[in-house]
Amino acid sequence: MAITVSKIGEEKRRVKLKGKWKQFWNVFLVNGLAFIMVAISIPGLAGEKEPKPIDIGTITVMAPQPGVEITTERTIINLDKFERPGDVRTLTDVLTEIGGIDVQRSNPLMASPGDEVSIRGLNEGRMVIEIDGRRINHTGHYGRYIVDWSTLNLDDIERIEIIRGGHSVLHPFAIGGVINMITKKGKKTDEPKPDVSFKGGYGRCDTYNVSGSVDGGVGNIVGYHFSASRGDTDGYLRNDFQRTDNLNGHLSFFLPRDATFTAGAKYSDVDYGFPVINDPNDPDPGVAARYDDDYPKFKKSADQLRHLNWPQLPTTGSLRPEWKKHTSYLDVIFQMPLGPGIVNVHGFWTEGRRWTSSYGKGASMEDPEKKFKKDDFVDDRTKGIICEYRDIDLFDSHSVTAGTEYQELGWPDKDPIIYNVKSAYIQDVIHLGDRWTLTPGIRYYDVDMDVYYGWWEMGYDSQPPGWPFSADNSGKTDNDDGFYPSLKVDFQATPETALYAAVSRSYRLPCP
Amino acid sequence: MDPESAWEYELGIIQDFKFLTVRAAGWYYDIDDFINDNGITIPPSEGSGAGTDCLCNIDHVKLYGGELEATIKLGDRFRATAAYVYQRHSVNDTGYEHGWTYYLPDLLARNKVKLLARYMVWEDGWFQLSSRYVDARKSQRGEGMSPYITVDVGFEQKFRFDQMEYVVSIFCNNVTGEDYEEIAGYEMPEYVWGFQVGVKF
Repeated sequence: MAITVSKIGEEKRRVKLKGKWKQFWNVFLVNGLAFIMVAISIPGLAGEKEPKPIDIGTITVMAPQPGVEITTERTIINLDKFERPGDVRTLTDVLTEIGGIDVQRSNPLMASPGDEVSIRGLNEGRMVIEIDGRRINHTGHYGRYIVDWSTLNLDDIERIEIIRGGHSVLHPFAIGGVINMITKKGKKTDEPKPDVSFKGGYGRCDTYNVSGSVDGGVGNIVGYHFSASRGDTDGYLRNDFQRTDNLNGHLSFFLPRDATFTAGAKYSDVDYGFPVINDPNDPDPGVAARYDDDYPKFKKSADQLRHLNWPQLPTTGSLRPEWKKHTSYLDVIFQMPLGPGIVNVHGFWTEGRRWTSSYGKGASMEDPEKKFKKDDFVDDRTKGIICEYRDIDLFDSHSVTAGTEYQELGWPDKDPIIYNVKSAYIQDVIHLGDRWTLTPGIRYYDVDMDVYYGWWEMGYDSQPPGWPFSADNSGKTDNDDGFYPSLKVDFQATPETALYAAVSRSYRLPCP
Repeated sequence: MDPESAWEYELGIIQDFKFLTVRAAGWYYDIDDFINDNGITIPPSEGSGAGTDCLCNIDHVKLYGGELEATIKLGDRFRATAAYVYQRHSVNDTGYEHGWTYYLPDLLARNKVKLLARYMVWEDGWFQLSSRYVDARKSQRGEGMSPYITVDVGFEQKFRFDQMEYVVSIFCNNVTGEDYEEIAGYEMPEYVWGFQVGVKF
């Protein structure tokens, strides 16, 4: 069955309405919050949303494995049911088994900071990784650690949703796709006994893990989920050790008018050893002499998917290449039925702090200390707020979601706001009879940024001494804005056959 | 440095034949001002090598390909899924190419297959098999990397006792002892064995 997709009109990129939009933003954010507060206080307005979804007829779903469902829109993985040979502790353990997703792991024993995940050839620099629908990607400064997969344990994750491509305007900066982790937030129950689980394992290279969780509620008023875990490995490459400790907690308060307020925290503490060169034929005789045949060869020319993972010299003690990283994910979410839809306000904060001890380029065993930096501190911070009015049922055939999002991303120690992102979006899911569904949407971005630049493009043959501060016109501030539309058409040809077509224009935060 | 944006097109189908379900999709992405980052491979002689100093925009990078996924269910005992992905890309010249220039999509294979299967040997006792085929691809330094096939196996048993649910599993990844590199420069381990125990109540 053929599907015709209307071409969305020509893009109007970089429409310079900055002053107008800045005013719009200030007004929108302040008024949005005020609107919610007022709405809560008006009797009869809140709580009108019926928990009755629009009947959209039959949808063909693919269920390839227990706990996995694939629709034309997304892949959903329910972690309580998902199984694979081996442990399921981190996000990359799951993604490895999902069709169409590439996971390049630097250490198969445990998710590590050097891992890379790609969908359709585009990695986390062009995907959005989310917790409960909010973005956790950092700027990628100082090492391209945009997403540190070692910190994303699944102890408190209920399900994972994967969207391939950038066809949903509800998720920002998603050229390559979306990976959204939905957390366990506790139960609304008067059953005092919680669900408790413990798990442990042991394997090759002295690798072990232990974890425990408790999930329950009190008096239909408060729900809770707490979990903790530890993973540890000696690694199979030389100096490729890792220890990861995780703590997670979520509290949900079930308020009048079916409103909920949830506070959540995830904390991860990773101590990770950079693999060191282990090659008897290394051109540095000092390195070659330290070859240890108890470990696999690791060549100086090995690919590095992150910047800091330069070939490290095989030294120990105070010259041991490693990093320690503390990552915190903090969220507060307020949700309430309001009129024909649901209000959702989500504040979020991600803080990453790492202390890196490593060799810089050109290090040699002749004088190893010369190029070794000890406990080099770098931090990342992403914070923001999403105000959304979603699933607004109109005329029995429309389900509209509209929202606005504000984000600051930066390096608190050097440049606290590298990117300041303001965006707004609207999407309508239009059901035309039982068979056709149209999903048009549009997202607007306004981004103030300390941009990246290249000395090539500045006309230099090589990097000038003192770059970039020594050169004129290498300043780093810029602004960009524009509208990015999307259209998806679904056609349920028969109860067994679902067809779809999508076209979209998506935008990427300019990170490495 | 200009921000990056993309026009993306996709077509797909899910067809359910009851015992067999098939998903197929094709996509085409045209990325404008693709930001290419060669900070990792830039040699020390070029300067400090800071990553942000050697970024450049590429006018167009185009990615296209297809996905074919099929799942089969035979009774309550057997279920298997196979997923095949074909992907390619093309990159416009910028004039900034060097011997150490590379592109991230080059590091990924054109052809990939994943297989995941479960067979219930007896009540609540499941044998699991996961296998991956990854075709040839390039390293960051442009050298070719060999294709490989890995096979992981495991067995899981659940049982209940005194209102508590227990689970015991054992596994061995790369059980065939394949010598392969997932990331160029070092081989991945063979026979990665382990076990897990858990309890819920």
